[in-house]
Amino acid sequence: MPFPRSPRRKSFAYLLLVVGGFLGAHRFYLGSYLGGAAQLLLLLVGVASLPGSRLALGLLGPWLLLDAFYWVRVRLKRLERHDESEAARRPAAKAYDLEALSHADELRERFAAAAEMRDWAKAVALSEQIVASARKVFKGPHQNLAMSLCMHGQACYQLKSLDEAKASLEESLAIGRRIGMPAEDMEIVRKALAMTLAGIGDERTARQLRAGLPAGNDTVLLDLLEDQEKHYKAAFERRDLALAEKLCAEAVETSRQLCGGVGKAVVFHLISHAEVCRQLQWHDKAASLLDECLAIIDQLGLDDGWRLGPTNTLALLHAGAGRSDEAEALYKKTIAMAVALSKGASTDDVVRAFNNLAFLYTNTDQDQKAELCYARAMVHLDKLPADEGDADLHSDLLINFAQLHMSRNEAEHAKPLFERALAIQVRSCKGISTSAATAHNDLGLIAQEEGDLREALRHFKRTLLLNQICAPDHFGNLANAQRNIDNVSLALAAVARAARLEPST
Amino acid sequence: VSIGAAFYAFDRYRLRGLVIDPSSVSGFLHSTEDKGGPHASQTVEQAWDVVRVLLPEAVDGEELAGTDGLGCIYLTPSHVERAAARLARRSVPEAMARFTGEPAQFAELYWAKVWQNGTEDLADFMEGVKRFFAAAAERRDAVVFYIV
Repeated sequence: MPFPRSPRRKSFAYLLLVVGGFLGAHRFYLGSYLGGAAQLLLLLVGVASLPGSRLALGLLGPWLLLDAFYWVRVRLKRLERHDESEAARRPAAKAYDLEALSHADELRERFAAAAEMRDWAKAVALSEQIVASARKVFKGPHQNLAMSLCMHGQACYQLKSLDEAKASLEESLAIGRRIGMPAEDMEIVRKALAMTLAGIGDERTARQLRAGLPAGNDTVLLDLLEDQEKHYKAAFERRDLALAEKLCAEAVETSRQLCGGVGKAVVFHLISHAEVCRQLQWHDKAASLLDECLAIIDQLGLDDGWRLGPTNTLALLHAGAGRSDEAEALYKKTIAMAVALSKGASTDDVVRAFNNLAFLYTNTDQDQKAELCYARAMVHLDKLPADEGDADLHSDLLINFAQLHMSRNEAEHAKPLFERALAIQVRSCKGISTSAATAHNDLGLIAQEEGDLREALRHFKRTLLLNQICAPDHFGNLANAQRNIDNVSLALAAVARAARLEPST
Repeated sequence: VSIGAAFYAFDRYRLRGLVIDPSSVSGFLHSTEDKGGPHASQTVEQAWDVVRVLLPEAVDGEELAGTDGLGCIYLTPSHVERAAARLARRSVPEAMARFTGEPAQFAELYWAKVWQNGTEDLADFMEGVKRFFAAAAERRDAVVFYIV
C-alpha cells in the first residue's frame, strides 16, 4: 500500500531558509517553534542598538549555517518517518474495526434469535464471542463493551451461571460509571445485577441496588425503609390513606438519611407520598412534594423515566382542581416523554399517557378528542405482548373507552371492550378486582337494556360480590350493585308472574 | 383421624388475596396476628356439621375451592354483618332443644350422637360462634370457615 508523503516539501524549506532564515521561518515551517522563536529573538537583539548586541548576530550566523547543511535535512527525514508510521497505523486499524464490528453485529442477531428461543446455552456462547470481539475492537472502556457484557451477564443469569453473570454485570457497571453511560442503560445493568445478586444470595447488596441506594449503606436503616414501604403500600391498598401518608412521610425521611440528603430512593418515596397526598385531597402539599421531587431529579441529572411519574401526578392534581388546560399540557408532555423513552415502540407508559389524556378529554366533554386518544392508546395496547404488562392499566383503558361508547348509547361497541377487559382481569387475578366489578356492572346494564334479565342479574350479583371483596368500604358502589340486583329481581318476578297468568294455548 | 373446623376473622383487605390464591389460606390461618394473621378464631371442633345445620347463617357465604382443607367458605364483611344480625336473633337453647328433641332428623350429621349426649359443649360452641360474629362484624372483618 503506498503511504502518503509528508506534506512538508524539502525545496520550500530550503527556500525559506535562504529568504527568511534570519527570522527563523524555516524552523517554524518544520515545526521547531522554539528554535524559530530563538532565532527571531537573536535577530531582534542583534539589530537593536544595545551594548553587545552584535554578539547575538554572531551567534545567529553559524546557527543558520548549521541548519542549512545539517539540521533541515535531518529534520525532514525524521518528519517523513513519523508520517509514514502514522499512515501505516491508521488505515490498518480502521479496516480491522469495520470487519470486527460487522462480525459482532452478526453475532448479536444470532444472540437475539437464541434469546427469543430461550436457548440460553447458545446465547451464552454467542455473547462470550460478542464480548471478546468488543474487547478487541475497543481496547478499553466503551459503551459497546459495557452493553455486550450486560448481554452476556443476562444470558448467564438465565442459564443459572450466577457467578459469571455477576462478574460480567459488575464489569459492565464499572465501565458504565467510568464512561458516563446513559442512565437508562445503567438502570438495565443495575437491575440485572440486582436479580443476579438476589439469586446468589447476596440479598443485602441486591436490596440496595433495587432501592436505588449506593452500596455500603446502614442495614438497620435499609430494613426500616423496606418495612415502611411495605406498610404504606398495605395501608394504601386498604385505603387507609391517613396511615399511608404518615408512613410515606417516614419513608421519605429514612431514605434521606440513607442517601445523605438526595438520591433515587428519596425521589421514589416522594412520588408515593405525593400520590397519597393527592388522594387525600391535600393538593398544596402534593404539589410541593412534586416540586421537590422534580428538583432532585434535575439535581441528580436523572432521565425522563424518573420525570414521568411526578409529571403525571402533577397533571392529575391540575385535572382534579379543574385546571384542565394545565393538566392537558402536562399529559401531552408525559406522552412525549413516554414515546421518547420507548424510542417509538409501544409500552405501558405510552398506553398510560394516552389513556390519561383521553380520560381528561372525556371529563371535559371533548368526546372526539377523547376517542382519538383512546384509539391511539388501543393501537399501542394491541402491539404489546399478550398477558404481559400492567393488567389493571390495560383493563382500565378498555373500560374507559367502553364507557365513552356507553355514554353515546353505542352498546355494540362497548360490549366487546368490557368483555376483553374482563378476560384480562380473569387471566391476571381470576377476575377478583374492582376493574372486573366495573366491567360486570356495565355488562349487566347492557344485558338489561337488551332484555336479558337473567344475564343482567348474574352480572350484577358478581359486581356486588367483587365489590364486597375488593372495595368493602366503598358503600356507594355496594348500595348501587344491590339496587341493580333488586330492580332486576323485581323485573324477573314480574315476568314470571305474567307468564303464570298468561292463558295456555 | 376426625374432621374438625373453625371460624377465623381477619382484616377485610386480606380476603382478596386468599380468594385469588386459595392455596395460601392454610398458611395464612395458621400465622399469628402480629404477622398479619387472623384477629380471632372460634373452633367448633367435630361439631362443625351440626353447627352448620343449626346455625346456617354462620356459613352463609361463598365456597372457596382449591384450599388444602376439606372445605372452605368465606364471608365478606357484608356477609359477616348480615350473619351477625341474624345470629343475634337466634336462640341457642331453642336450637339445642330442636337438636336433642328430634334426634332422627339430625342422625346423618357428623358425630351427631356424640353431641346429642354432650349438649353442654355444643351449646358453648354455638354461643361462642354468636359472640365471634358479633365481634367480627364490629371490626368489619372478613371470616373464613375452614374444615380440616
